[in-house]
Amino acid sequence: MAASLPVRIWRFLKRTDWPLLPLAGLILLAGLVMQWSVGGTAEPPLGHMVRMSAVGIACVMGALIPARLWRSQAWLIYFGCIAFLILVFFVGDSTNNARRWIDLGGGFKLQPSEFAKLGIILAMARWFSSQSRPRHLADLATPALLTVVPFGMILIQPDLGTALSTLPLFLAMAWLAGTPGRVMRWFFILPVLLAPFSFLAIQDYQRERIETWWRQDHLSEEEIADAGYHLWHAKLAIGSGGWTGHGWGQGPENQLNRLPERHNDFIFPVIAEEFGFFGSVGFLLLYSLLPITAFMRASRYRDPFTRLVVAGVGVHFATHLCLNIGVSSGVWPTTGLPLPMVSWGGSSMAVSGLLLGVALSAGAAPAPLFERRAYGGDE
Amino acid sequence: MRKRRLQHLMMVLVAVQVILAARMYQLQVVQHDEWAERAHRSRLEKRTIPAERGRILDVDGVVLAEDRRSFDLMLEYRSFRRGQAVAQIFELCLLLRIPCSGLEEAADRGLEILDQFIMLTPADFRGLDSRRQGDAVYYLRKLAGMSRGEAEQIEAWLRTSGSSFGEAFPEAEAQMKTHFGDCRLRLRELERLLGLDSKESLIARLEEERQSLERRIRQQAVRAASAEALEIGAWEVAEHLGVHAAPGGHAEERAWRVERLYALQDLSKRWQWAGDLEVLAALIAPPSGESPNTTELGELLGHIETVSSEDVSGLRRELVARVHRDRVARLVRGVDYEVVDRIGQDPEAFAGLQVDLAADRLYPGDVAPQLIGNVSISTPDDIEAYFAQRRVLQELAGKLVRTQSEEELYRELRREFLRTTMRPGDVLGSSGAEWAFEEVLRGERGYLRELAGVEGEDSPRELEFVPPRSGQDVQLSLSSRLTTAAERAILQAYDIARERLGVDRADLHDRLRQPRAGFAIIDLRDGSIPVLATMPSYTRDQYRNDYELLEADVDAGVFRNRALGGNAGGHQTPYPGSTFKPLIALLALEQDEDAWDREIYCGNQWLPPGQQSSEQVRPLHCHNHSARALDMHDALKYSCNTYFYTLANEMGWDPIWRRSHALGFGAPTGVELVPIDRYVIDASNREGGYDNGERFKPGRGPNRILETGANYLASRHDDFNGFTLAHFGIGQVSVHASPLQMARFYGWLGTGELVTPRLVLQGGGGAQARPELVDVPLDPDFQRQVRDALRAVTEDPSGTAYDEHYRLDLFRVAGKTGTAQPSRIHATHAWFAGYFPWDEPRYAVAVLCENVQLHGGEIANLVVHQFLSSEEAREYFHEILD
Repeated sequence: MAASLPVRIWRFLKRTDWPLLPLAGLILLAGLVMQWSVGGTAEPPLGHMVRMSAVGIACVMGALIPARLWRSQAWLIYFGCIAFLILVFFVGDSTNNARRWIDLGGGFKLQPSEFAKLGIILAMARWFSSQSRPRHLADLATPALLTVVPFGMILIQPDLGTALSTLPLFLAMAWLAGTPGRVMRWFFILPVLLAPFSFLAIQDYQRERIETWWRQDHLSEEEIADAGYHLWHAKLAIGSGGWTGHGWGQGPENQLNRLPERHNDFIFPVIAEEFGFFGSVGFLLLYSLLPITAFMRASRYRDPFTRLVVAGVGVHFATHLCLNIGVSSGVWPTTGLPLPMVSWGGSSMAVSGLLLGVALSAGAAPAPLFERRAYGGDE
Repeated sequence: MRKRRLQHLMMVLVAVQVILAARMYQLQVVQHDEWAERAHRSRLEKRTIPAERGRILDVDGVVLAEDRRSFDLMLEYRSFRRGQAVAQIFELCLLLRIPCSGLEEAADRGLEILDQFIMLTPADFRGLDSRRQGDAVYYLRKLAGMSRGEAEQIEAWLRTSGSSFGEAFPEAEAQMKTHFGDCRLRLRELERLLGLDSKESLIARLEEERQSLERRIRQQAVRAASAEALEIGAWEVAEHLGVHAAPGGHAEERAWRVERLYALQDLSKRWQWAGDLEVLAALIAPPSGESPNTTELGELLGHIETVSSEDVSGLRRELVARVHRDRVARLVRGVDYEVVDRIGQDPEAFAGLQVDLAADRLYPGDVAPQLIGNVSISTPDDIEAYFAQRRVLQELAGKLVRTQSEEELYRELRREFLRTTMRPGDVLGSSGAEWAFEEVLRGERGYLRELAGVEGEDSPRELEFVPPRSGQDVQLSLSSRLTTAAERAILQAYDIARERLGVDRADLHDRLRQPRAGFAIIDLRDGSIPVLATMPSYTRDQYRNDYELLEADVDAGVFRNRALGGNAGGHQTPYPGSTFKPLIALLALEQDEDAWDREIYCGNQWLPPGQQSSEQVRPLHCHNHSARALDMHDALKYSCNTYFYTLANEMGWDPIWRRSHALGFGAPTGVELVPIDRYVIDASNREGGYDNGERFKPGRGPNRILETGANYLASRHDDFNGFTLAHFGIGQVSVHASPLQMARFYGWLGTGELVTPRLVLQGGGGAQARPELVDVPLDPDFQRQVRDALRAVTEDPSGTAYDEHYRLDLFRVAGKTGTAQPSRIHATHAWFAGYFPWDEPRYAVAVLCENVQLHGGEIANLVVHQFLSSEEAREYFHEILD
């Protein structure tokens, strides 16, 4: 006799990485609270709630698709994402100075670069799980290419922040696939060597932002009004928060509309301004638990595809967290990158839900799903 | 291994989190006070106070321009609608859709409308969204004099009660009526203090201003809705749809027109616009200076709201907040202190009406208005442009990614914003010395720093006051007394000339009734300019009251400064005529030192060598003396044309051009009023091998016209011939010069040094770029010979400037007359240029009498004589004249 639906869901959750769900729920709730504050209205932000529901729907959809299908269709998904990235150059909407979105009509827009991350995670997990352990630099050529192609396409949209967020996926997954340290170090040495050349290749305003970031404690009034505008106002918001902050909906930088992009890439300074050090570090801890949990759960799986997918999802959230908060607080130079499930972007929300769903789906698959890899069973 | 590697990842993540947490600790705990202070300071709004503008003084310290403190009554509508019952009634009517056309009707029918408010029930608020309902509660509460805490009672009444407002709040009616009555009384009192009559009531002015705000709100809303629909920035709308926004270049313009048409079609389709596309375009992006009809804009907005509400959703409220906050309008200029005192006694009662310190620019004596110039105050359009530009800048600055074109736009706008955009209350020099020395005269604005509160909170509190710093004075070398004397001398000379005219020349009488003359004197020791007079002139009252009349009289050209040439052209083209001849004489002497004694026969007619008189080739004439042979001395004394036709033809184009160029002909004089642009022409266009190609022309700005058209030197024509050269030799056609330029040239003849005219004695800051002075050699022997001849011109009874009744030689003035012919059909100019005293020249002088149809010796010399005879001149030049 077939079990009832709640029992089946319970069994499914027991098998899978269910701790990710309450964490994601709490983060979403925090996002809702902050978007409410940013909106400055008496009513809750309905638009954001709709986007939140996209996380849930995408998560359920991702979880319902069997892991076997995710694995078998990994290449299709990857090349589908690449096709979308190409498509965006032809039919994409040029909004906010970049061609990043495809208008789906009815006010819905799709940002293919967000979905590309899913493609990269799946494709690399598939590649690494079907190959022997990479021992030489040449062994990483294909996964590197898998990353560099979408990276380049996103970069010329232009969307530097999103492009940069794909690189840690490659590094982390290559590392988890067992690439020796002597090979991995090249990926740290090479960027350092190439940095001066990339400094010449970037656009003027980006160079100015790097320069102002470097001299962020000594900015003139003109620089504050220009290249250092975002960083300065973000730091004003964070720094003025103190231990406990101004209180929800009371942050002057937020309420006086002085913090740019505060509903999106600069949502964290609003948290820091209104809830202070306790609030910002608390949020940091809460959000960090998501990737940490993903890593911990990933270590349980013997199947390399599952492990790499779940860890990749963790890396995705960790990368966004570190880059977004680092940018807001002046640890890194200013670039635009949303904080998944907290920021406003619908595509980012949907992809976050989908990634969580994929992780749940992969984790729920009966082990061992696939053939064991040579490097996989040494513990 | 897999666990270990995952642990490594976790460690990296934890390490980064620790770094981020440490950064939070640093910013939020360690540096909190610093950042809190910075955040606090960054929220301080500056309310600037205009600085007193520096004075412009003449050489004796006489004030030519100064500021007088005054007070302007300003309206800040945001505070007004929050604090004044009349506005509250009107705004509430708008929200509840109760008919009320404006503030005037609200004031007239206030009591009647209040009765309607008393009868309001919660059902009347049902159709309102939460924001509008919140606003309605706010105005109702304010009208009823209820505290902020009591707003909750009104909200509770809206939720639960079915009774009318008057029943729910029995004390409200009396409060409302008292509040309204007080408001009307105060406005009437203010009206009386301002001396406004019933036709021009204060409330009418307030309504006019409110309507202007409404028009701007609607205009911006339509523009923003278009931007939303076309998915472009609001600042790009005019560029895309504006009637006059076509870019240069035929192909570009065509592409732009096609794109514009597509954009209009898109809008028309989206908004279901049935009318003409151009009408739609004119509503969205009207041509500069034109405002579309407020009603039509309102209808368009209403239509958009019906068919495409997402394009205007939330726009109005945002724009109302922004426009009402930004706009501080000047209601009445120069109000009495009584008004200041009354408002100062009870500022809260007059909420929204404030008195700002301002300054009137006064010009005592109306001396040389074309030279001193004018100031302009920021107009409502300037202020609107200021805020619009500020918004665009803020929007662009807030973008994380800027395209190349946006980056360029941003930088361009910022540069313009910092340098030229007029801020509210700004007074800027717009012409003359006021413009040229703006940076020095302007001073620095003071400010009150006020903490910006969150929307809806109490008024900001004053925190810091930094007083304004007055601008510096600029002292000119100009003497107002001498300039007045010069103007009087011009009038006298014209009168004398008119009286001397016989019946046969009666046609010239009218011509001489309104003098059109320029008069310049340069002190040859330092280049200072004690006299730079021009006629006709105007008074500041005429400028204020009859500007259009003055401007319409193109012939009189009162805004031209004829001493500088001042936008001369056409029949006013100032050829120097015979006053140019001494230059030719000197060049001839340099080429042949025996030229002084060389005699040339003048048969009163001249043709270039080898040419025969015919229908096509007509001889040039010389009517200045009887037919005879003359040497150079006599040629100068009699101003023989034939002599100089011949010399010019013999020496050719290049030497004349070269020396003229070196002496500053063809370039601005370098007087500080006129900015100068330096440029280099390519080698193929240079005049012979010695020309380095460097040229000067008036630079940018309103003052460029001061010398435009007056200082010109023709390039060598490939087809120049004997006639062209002959004209060049007598200062016709190929050379133009202002009186100041000619005075400078005669100064060089007198002293051998070419001075740059200097109008500023003190202050003035960085003077405008001047052409570099070239050391132009002048052989002392040749100089003496020419000076002898110039002395004979005024001293010898047969000299052209000798007048037995008005003798210049008595003042030891040497010089040369000139008669320039601007065209065959236009009346000639009369010139006199020279220096004094002739034995040791200290001042150079030049007078140009435009289109008088008289010889230089018939009028221009009289001007100099009358001037030097004046009491002022005798006093000023007493060392020389006594």
